[in-house]
Amino acid sequence: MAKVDLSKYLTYIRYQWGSGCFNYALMAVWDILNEINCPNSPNMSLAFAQHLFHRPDRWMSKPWAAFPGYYGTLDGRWHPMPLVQPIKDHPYESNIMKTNWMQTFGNPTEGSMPSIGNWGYDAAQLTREAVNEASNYRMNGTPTKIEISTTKFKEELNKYNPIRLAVGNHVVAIVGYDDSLKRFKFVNDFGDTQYAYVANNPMQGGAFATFTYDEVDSKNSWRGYLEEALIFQIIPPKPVPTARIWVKHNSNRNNINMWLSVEDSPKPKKKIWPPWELTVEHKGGWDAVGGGPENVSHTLNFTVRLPSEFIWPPSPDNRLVLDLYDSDALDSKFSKGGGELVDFRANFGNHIVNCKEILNNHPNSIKFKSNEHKRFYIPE
Amino acid sequence: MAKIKQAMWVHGTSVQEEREGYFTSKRRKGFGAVFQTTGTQWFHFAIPTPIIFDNKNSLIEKIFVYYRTTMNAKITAIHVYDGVVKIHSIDNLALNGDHSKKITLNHNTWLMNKQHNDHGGLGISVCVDFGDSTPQGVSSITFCSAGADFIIT
Repeated sequence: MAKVDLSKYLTYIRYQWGSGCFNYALMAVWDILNEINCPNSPNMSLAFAQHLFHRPDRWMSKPWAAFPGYYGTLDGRWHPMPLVQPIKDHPYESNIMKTNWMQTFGNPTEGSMPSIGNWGYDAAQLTREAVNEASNYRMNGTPTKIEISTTKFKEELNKYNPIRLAVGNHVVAIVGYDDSLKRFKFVNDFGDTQYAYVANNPMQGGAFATFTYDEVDSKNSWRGYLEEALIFQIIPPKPVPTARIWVKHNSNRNNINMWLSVEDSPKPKKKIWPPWELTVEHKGGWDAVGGGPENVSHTLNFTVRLPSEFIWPPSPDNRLVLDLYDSDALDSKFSKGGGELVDFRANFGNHIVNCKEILNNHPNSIKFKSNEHKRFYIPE
Repeated sequence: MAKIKQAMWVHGTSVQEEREGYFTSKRRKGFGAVFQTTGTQWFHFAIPTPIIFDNKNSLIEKIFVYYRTTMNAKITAIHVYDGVVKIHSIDNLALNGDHSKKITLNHNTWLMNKQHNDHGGLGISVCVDFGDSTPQGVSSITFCSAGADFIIT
């Protein structure tokens, strides 16, 4: 019995604080493709795609779009954004997926966009670092629409192609299948606590759930009608120096604040968590999105680009610094506070330099308490 | 008639990387410019050029690129430009190791004997294949110096 599971290439589970599921699913697909083609790549940022979604007037119509049908980026380029016929129930998504920004401009990575942003306004504009890095993360052509069928889905997954699937009024990413269960596995974007683990379906649990083969072939699932399936082809990125950080919080990972920096550098520390979008969506998300603050991820296992001024490799006179602070500001009535740092390492492609403090503590992780600040170095 | 010879050099710290990005880690030290990345990259030296010396044209006799590599990095091509015109190509190379201190023909020194055509300054372009990164590290090249010998006829 054959099976494929591309979820091993996806460590960063996103939480949808509002609308934009199609972009969340896209970024899950993109992360998987990057990790397959270029291990230890940074995770893709949602910021630019969400900005295009929330401010279509910036590229669709005057007065905000100087040239409707084009989007101008900070580097002075104009990217064609031809409008296409929207599919039912997914009008904006259709346009954003099928326009050219993913091919001509690319996409920035987590940690390169403003930490205090706003989807709706100009604060979501690209930073210079985001512009500089985006061309390394581009799609090779527009997405390809594929037939919705068990045969086709399995064929693409066998070719290491995750599938972005519009289902009902939502969008998810298909990441695997198992013939013995006759099910496809998909990743959703409501954190790592959404789905309960069940004994008879080991593909379900955390951020992952499944569709049966029958649901796919009938295009009618428990999550709604299957409307559109897309696959994407990336231009393989070049490796960049990154940090992989794996941290668990006892109640809510959004309590964790993290910065990366180069020891003794005069430049500001690079704020890497929470990502900018969470600083925005709190105001609507806490109350408006079902589940509330207790229904979020506990685990954060993601990869971000090192501060630009960092020169590879880390050495005793060139140390990478991770500052971690548990504010415990969210979720206080539920919070158990504190958590643990499981992994912290620096990567440049296949060259990995571990944080020895964590290795020396193995198999135990490094615990931190509520309202505690900790600092980790590579090398120690 | 005696030939007048001129040697014009620049230090390795002046080299320019063609495609800059966060995928290259670079640092400039007193001994040269060190680059670490993966895949292929071009680097360019601009050599001060005596196009006319005492009302006479110059001939490029030799070019030099002093460098040292680590791990998988190797120089695969050297192209020489007279302004916008490519006047010489040395391709299909696989040069690595430490060639940073003394002249080694066909490793860091190449005979040219090319007429300078007055298109402009002399450019030396170096293609480096860094290969893939490995668990042991990321390949590097250090450019220490580059230059050329000119003959004034």
